[in-house]
Amino acid sequence: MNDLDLRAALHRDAELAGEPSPDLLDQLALRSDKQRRRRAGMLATAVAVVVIAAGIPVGQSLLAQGDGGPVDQAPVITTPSVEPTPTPTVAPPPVATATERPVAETPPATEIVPAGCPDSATLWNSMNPEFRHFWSNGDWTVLHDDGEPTLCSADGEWAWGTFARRFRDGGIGYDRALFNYVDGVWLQRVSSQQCGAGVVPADIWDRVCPPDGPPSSGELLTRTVSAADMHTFVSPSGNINCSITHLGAVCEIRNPTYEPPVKPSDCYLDHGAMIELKGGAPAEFVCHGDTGFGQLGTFELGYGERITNGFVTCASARTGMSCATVDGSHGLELSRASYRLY
Amino acid sequence: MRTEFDEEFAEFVTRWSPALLRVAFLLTSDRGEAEDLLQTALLKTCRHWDRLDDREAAYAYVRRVIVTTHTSWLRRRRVHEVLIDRVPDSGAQESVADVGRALQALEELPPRMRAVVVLRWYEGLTEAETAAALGCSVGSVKSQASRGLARLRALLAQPLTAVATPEGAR
Repeated sequence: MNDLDLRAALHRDAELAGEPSPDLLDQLALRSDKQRRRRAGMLATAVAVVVIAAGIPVGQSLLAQGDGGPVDQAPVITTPSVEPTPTPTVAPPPVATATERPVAETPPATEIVPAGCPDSATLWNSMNPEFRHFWSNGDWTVLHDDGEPTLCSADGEWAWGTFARRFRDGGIGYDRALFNYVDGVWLQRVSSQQCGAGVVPADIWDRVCPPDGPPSSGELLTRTVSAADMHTFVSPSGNINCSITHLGAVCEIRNPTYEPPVKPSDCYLDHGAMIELKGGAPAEFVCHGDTGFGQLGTFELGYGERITNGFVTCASARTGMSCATVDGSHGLELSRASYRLY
Repeated sequence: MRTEFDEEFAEFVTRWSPALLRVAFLLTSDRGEAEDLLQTALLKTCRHWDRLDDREAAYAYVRRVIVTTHTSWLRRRRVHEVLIDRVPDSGAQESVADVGRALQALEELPPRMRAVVVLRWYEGLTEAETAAALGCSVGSVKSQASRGLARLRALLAQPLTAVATPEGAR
């Protein structure tokens, strides 16, 4: 077989591909729109969770945006009516830690006493429409019978609700939100704002109010994702990108400053920036010629937020990204200045 | 449905998607996965279309995205599929001229080597261009091309039915 034979054979077999779908552009548009909404949904969920935990007083303004996606990523389909959305920033909490509860000024007086601790469905219907819209707009189904029971204060005026979302393949994710019973209705509140104001009752304070402000409470910020899918996320700085599946995790860093590891002699590609963690073995650098950055569906994993898929959990922190098996036997820690594999 | 893509991008898709689909097909051996790969690459490109200074190089850009995305998929999904439903009837006159034969042999190559072979002998790229498309050194392309060609020759010298491998064997 000479080169000409090979070329001819390749060209002939390539014809087996046929022609692209005649509605390829329409399919691209649909897919683009779906990805855009998914990104917006995931971002909104992440922001909502962080907002709830950190008490960022964005209220309805941020999530009320029609796009909701990050503005630094050019949307495929333009939405001219949407004004640019400022990139959400995680601000320090107004005050307080879990061990240092501020003194309540004057709790809102409510004359109407609720009938009891509301269930998830009741709180769901009381949720701010913008939150509910985004939580309803992803590749999941909101459940009302699969979450933890609502936690209520003894006075019956505050409720800490859990909402479960079932992903397409059966994986479950949880989000929580704070509600206050006022004038006969449950109103969604930004938790840390209320924590800072000292109005959250003592009996639910430890559960609702994060100990170190934004996002440090694993309970608040851990999301359990669908096992069958790959989830790609990036650190808030944009420097570290990871993908997690139920089989393991791959993390990659841009412009590391640490001393690069010794490149294997059989690696002709890049080495020293991508680490793989897979079952039953220590994490290790991999030889690679591609990058995980820029993949569709990538979402930001906020500082303090964790993601769990199968037996691997990854955590984002200002000091870097870490991923580890649930038993802690193997893992990786990655930052621009250092790495640790075990 | 009315698409809302940049007109220039839409024209690019219309004009070049058939050729790009064939590249994706040679990398994946699967029509559906090839179309998925093509769409993924086009969407990635679309997001950066405004920043593509040289539109003449858009084809090469998308082709590179196809290759890198496919490599990424293989690594991250750990999906190994062997297509065996397109094996033509094998007869006494088997040769490299058999339809599907080269494709079947390509499936035996590691992803990076396969990409090198496709880019060098299907797309007709030089070693330097192939290296640029794959983001690796020319030396790596040379070694991969050399080994890939030798492997293809050996595979294509075998009887057709011996080319396919059990699923997960790679």
